[in-house]
Amino acid sequence: MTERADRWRRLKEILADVLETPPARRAALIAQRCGDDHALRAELEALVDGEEASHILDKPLPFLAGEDVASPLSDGESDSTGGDPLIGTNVGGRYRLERSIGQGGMGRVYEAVQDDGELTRKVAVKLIRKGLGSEQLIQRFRRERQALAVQTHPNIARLYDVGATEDGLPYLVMERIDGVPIDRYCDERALTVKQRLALFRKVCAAVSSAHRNLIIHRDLKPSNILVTAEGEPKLLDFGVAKPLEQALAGEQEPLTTPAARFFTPEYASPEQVLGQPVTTAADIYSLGVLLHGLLTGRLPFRPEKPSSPLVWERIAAKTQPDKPSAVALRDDGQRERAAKNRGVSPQKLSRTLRGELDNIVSMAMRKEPERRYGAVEQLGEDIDRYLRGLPVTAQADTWGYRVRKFIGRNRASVGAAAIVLLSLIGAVIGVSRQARRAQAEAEKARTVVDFLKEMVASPNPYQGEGKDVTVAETLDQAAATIEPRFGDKPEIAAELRTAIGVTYYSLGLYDAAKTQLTQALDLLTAIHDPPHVELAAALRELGVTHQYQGDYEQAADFLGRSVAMFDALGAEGPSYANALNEYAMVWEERGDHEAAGRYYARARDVFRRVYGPDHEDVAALTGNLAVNAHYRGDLDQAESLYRETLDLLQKRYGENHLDRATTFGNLAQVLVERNDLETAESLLRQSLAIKRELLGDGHAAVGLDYHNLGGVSYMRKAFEPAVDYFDQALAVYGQAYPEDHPRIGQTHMFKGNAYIALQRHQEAESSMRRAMAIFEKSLPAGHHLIAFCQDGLGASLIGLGRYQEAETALLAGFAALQDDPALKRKFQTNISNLARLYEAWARSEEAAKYRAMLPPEETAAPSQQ
Amino acid sequence: MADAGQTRVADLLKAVTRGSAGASDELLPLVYEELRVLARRWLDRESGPLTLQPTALVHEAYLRLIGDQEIHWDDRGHFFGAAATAMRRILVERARRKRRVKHGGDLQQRPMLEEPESPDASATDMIALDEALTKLESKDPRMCQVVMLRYFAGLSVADAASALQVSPKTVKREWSVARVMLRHWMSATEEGSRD
Repeated sequence: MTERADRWRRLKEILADVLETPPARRAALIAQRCGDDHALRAELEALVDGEEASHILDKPLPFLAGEDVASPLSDGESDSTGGDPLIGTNVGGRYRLERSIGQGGMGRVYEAVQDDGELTRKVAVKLIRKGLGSEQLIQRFRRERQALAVQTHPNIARLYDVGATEDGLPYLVMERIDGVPIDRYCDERALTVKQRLALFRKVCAAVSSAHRNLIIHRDLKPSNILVTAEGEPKLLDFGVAKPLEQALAGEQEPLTTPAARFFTPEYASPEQVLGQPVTTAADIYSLGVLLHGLLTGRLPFRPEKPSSPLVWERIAAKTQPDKPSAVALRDDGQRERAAKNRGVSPQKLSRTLRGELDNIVSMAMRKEPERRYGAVEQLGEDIDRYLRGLPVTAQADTWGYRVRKFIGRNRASVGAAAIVLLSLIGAVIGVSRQARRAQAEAEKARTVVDFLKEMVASPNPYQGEGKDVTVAETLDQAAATIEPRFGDKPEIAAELRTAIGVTYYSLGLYDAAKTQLTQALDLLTAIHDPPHVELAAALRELGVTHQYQGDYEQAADFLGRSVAMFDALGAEGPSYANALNEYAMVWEERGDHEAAGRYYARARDVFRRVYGPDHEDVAALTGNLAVNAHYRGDLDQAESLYRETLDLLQKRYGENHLDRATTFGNLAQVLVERNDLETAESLLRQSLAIKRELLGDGHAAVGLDYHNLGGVSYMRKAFEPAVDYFDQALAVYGQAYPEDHPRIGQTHMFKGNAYIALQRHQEAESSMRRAMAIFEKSLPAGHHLIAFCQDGLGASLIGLGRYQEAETALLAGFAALQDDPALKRKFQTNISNLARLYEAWARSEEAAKYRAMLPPEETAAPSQQ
Repeated sequence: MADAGQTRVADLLKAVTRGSAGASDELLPLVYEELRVLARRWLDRESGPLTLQPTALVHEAYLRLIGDQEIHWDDRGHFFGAAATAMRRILVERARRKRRVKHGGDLQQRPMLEEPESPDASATDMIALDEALTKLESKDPRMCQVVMLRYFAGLSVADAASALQVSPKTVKREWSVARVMLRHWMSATEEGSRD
């Protein structure tokens, strides 16, 4: 072996090892392996540096277009007409083939003219490829055709005729549809999500009608659903797949390769892929895939190797599709274009899909046929309900719900499995790091991580009585395996139980979390004498679990013990600081803001000592201290801490960071309380600028800033600008929320108040009524916003001189407001409005009665409005 | 059921496995032409896709050229090797064409409505990758094969491992090293530096 080749081999071996090592340990490994070969070491360091950066090999291959594959030999020759000897011939004596229009698994499709003296029309003729022809097949087609002919549906292409050519090739004659596949149709016209849903609804109706005639399509996919220029979807090939499949099964037994079956794996139900009995539920599944594609522009599954039957079987049995809302954000190179085709940003698209549409797709695409919609019509009805703004019947799978809760709390936006794995491994690494592990300890941590990866990566699809394997079940399974596998290694068992416990509570499964964490604590208590850092950490996790669950007394107990133990150890580190921070939060929850403030301060001190003054955790704690001062009503301190937070965040992340926007918003609130409305407005504008930059103009958080700017303008008595801001808020909310979201109602109500102040009572009434309509739909009866709105409506009606109606509205407000001391201020406005009403109505007795209910200083003010 | 053409390809593959150099020379143009014809047919279909995913094409070609014949993994590896080479050639040719258009300042270039916002490998990258791969092949033919099979033929780690008759772990290791080395050479070319 030459020296050069030897060196390459050495480089390659070390590099491979290094790349398998976590980044933090790479430098050490390189140094160790290279010895005194400094050149090699330098080269390896350079190679490894930036290894994470994007790479051509991580991108998909470029898509091919026509010019890329134009063979130099056959230039100008189109494969679709040239060379096909059948063009121009007559099939069955009546159908003259004009041109080839498609090529599929079962054969070739031609456009043909039917001319038999009685009738001249364009038809599509499908010639079944050689090897499938048989008299039996033709018989089967005939039977299907009869079934299909029982009723005709305007959205199903007719099957006119079945026959055999002189060579014995079966052919099908079908209605010729001039249209484009549904996915292309939607994209070319950049249809919105709602327009797509309306089109999809029609497809459901057509499939449903065929199902009522006991015909299953078995191969629903975009190329079988053409949309005409008039926007009518037409389903092709109904009643075609089954006879073909039977023909194949008869000839080529056993039916081993799914590639030979007549379905498209991307759209086929698991039961089709796995060769199990097929019912109408298979079409429901395919419709789910179709809907997924129409909504996101992506298929739910895209394996690396599309044609391999084994891959599809694995997917069919095990893989859960990602939710459309997650797919919309997937950075796969199609994200921007897919969103643009739907007239929105990827973020907006994801928000639109999140929740109900996710649930509809997931319900249609359940692995088990019996857990899908019972009938296509139910799927169609859910689409209807969604389009009309009614709640849909589809429910998320439990794990989806749990994970969302977790995501909601952590504002993370990563995939569920990734979250679980990361949090598990993060928990282990966190524990390891804080204990400053030696070699043996690192080994233990690796055992633990490997075990967890294994548990998460290979859930058993057959356990759990045919239900989807949930994250929680995976954890249950992992927890159950600990005792048999690590019964004799209590350190590892404790660490695993801690990691699993932490993951349980991130999923909102507090009881399971407590069980695991308590067992971990017991194991550790048996190993270590207090005070010990692992015991302190275990106590902290138990405390956090109780805190999440809302049991603040227990939480305070555990966290207090944890902090005390860390103190006794003279601990110094993030683990200790976290305990202090959690302890502070518990005090905050229990209403002792003084104590909370003290612990926040201690946590921040620790973080500062450990990480330095500008670390993100220091910034976070400064933010917590600011909110704490705000709670305590110490506005000066709150302001200075908020400003410090802003500086720290800027140092850390630059101008534009969402936490900065939030902090600007909080600081604005302080200034509103101080009545410095001008500064508050400018702060809100800074928050707005960041959010628009980072979230886009359609995000609810942007709408909130506009709404608040409207509120501040209103307080400054700048009523016209206030109306403008409210309009901007409404424009944003219109994109971000369903149309009857309470936030939208609230903004309408505020806008109505601004109109009242401007004496534009007509517009005020209309705003109030819009708000009321939304509140009545979206809020429980007796909600205070409804009372506020009744009061506002009454006020606008006084201005319009419609006293009778005003009285009804104001008295309804009165009834709702009178008993709630928290609404006292609004109640007084209501009373003064009543007084004004009766004065305007010349009913002085009632006017005096309400006037008398007002505290003396309130009497004069509102009547000026 | 295999037709005569399919049997011919299978025989060629077996010949390649046996070490017949002539077979290899015959196989590549065959696969290459099949990929082109297949792609054209797909792209011409009235209701077909406007664009085509290359690795899907490779697998389609496999089905057409081999069908459901039982063939040995060795032979299959040669098929995908040939397909990957063909695909690499198609893509590099395409990239060269694109780059010419760009650098030539062709004023007739249409607005790129159909062009995705460069989610995939750019023309420049493709040419640089091609050069880096040539270099890699000279240093480490098998590592180059791993990249060819995974990237241009779209094989999974497991399938690439079977095709090369090595363990999946080896494929993973070689892939991760190749990734780093190729990037290094590609950026070196870009900066016009040595090596």
